[in-house]
Amino acid sequence: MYHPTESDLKKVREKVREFASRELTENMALKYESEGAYPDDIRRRAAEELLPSFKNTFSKMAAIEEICRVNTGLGITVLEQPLFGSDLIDLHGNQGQKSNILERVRKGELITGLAVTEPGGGSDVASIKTQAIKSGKKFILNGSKMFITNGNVADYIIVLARTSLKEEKKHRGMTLLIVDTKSRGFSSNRLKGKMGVRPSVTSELFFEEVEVPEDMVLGEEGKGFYHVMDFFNRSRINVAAMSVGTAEGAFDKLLSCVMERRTAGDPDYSNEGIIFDISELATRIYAARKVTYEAAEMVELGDPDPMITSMAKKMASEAAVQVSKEASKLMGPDGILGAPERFLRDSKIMDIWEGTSEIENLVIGRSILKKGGFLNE
Amino acid sequence: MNKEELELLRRTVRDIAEKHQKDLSPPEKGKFSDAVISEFASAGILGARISPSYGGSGLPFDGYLVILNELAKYSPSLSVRVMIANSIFNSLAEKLDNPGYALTGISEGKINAAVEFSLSQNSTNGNSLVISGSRIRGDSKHLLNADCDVAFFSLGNDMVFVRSGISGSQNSERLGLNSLQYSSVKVDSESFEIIEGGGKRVLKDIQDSLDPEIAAISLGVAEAALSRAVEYADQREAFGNKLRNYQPIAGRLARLSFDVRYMGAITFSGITFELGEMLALKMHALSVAEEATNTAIQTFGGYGYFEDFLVERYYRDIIAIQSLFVNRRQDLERVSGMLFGEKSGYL
Repeated sequence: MYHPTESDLKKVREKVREFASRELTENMALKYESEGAYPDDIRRRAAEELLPSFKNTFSKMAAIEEICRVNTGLGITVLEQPLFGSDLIDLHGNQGQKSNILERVRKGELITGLAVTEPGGGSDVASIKTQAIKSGKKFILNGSKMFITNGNVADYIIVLARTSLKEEKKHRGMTLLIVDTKSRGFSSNRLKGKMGVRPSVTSELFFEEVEVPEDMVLGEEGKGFYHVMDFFNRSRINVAAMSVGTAEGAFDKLLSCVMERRTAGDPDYSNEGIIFDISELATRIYAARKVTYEAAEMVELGDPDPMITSMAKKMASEAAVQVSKEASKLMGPDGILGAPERFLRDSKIMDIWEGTSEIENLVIGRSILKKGGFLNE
Repeated sequence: MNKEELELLRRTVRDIAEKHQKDLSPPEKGKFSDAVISEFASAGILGARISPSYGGSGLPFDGYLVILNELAKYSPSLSVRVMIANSIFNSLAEKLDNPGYALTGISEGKINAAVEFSLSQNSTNGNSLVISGSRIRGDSKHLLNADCDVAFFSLGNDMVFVRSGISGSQNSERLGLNSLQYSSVKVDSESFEIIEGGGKRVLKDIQDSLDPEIAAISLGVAEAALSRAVEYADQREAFGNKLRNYQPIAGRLARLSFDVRYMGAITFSGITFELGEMLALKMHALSVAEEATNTAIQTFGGYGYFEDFLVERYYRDIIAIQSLFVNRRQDLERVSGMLFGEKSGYL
């Protein structure tokens, strides 16, 4: 079993830190918080300089963690999200899909997205209504999707659609289709007014009689739901890594403030109340980080454990929320400005997307009940 | 005030707020519309605690708390503006030779007042105000209500009241209370008055006495966030069932609703509390508000992360209120001091 050590990941971390300090400046942060332009130039440089470091699950996670430690919203927009959904092609794609799309995504030449959620659907993936009806050697796609990352900038979007209405069970009869966003009948609308991760493009998508060639079916026809669930069991560790980085970033800001600030003439670091606060938050981050990398190890070995993945995602995302909140409060008026407030706003999406904490609780609880326990011994 | 009077007051605030709901909702633009200010001023809300001799309503404290509570449901920013004017500015103004001009203007909605209170909070901010001859000049960092006409600033251990010549810079991007301007300001004025004899100490005492106001605002925020979450859980279906039918969701909303109701019953009971009890009330109300706003976002899921559904604003605002007005460390030292009868929890 491969246990990465910090020295294994040191070079990746250093590289990302150098990139982030150069590219994710405060000016860039302010520029892209306005939910206007997409940071494509930074994304291209990130792809060129950092994507070659994504040699395994651990190096990818270390990179995500480090970039989020500087700026979560901008960091994931330029580094993690351009590849979103492409792991599905790695897992289930045919040779053509891998060479024409996946390889180019990994070089930063193309951007992908994954469209599962529908208006009014949320976590209930099995209730989707978007339909793809087979017609000769193609599918005709109709429907809409909601909260889709990269919706307005992706070259290809992997869409979960219902391809059979005959199945008794709702989660059967769904198929993944790779949709070229230049296709006729495809349109998107960027959603604005997000609380955080504002540089990231979130959209609603519309499919009106969109023709999808049958060679763009991803994986097995009728097994789309299962492919997506399998994907989330892997991708949720990325959210955990983002969350750990976000928590660390908020903690860094708090620590700097505590080291510099004096209250009533005394340095804050000499106050035991503050020492206890720091201790609580650091312990929480450390524990979340450990379980995150344990979940990553299982993914790397090709045997992800949904229970551990969900534990990691839940623990890390809640740590990000808690640490960034406490940091803002402890920093006083300085905590509602700049990086501390960004970390706070960005952190809150972590316990919502790719499964709310409530959904993670269901995954964890049901898994324990099924196995009759949760420890391996 | 009796129960009927309090209910009438609550309904007055609610009716005006409902009428201007769009203006009071996100996206917030760093200021309130003239129509909002004018109507709340006419109803006596902006000068709720200011003496009638200065055009205020001179309301009893329980009525004032009801106003803050009800306003916070529609706009925590407006509630905070009313608190700054009536609880902080109004108290400091008592020290002025002629407070009439400013207090009348506040009551009529013609003057916006600010107090540089962050210096007594945990902050690395500060100001560079100096008096040279008959002028006061300098900058102050991060003033809430920075588009003010008049303001109190710290000056060494004293406070100085500036009547003119305050100009704000660009509104700062920040976490919450986004209907209020928050920026650094430049001061260049010949019209000012120094409050000698521990003005800063007075400000600290005023801040320490804001516990009931913060509790009332927090409960308003909690109640608004929860009522939206309950409404959503009652309508939204997932996995073939209404959200309200899922035990963890219904149970969590129910427990929080009872917490809010219980805290409200205590806060608005009309009982006079001792300082320590009010402090405990504030701390608990803030904690309930934090949990309620978080629960509301979780109940809405992805929709809760967008300003259109309003709950994320409450989440941001309740943290901003704590960062700006609450110093947990100092609060705990106050509680310790009461418990042990002398300054405690401090080495």
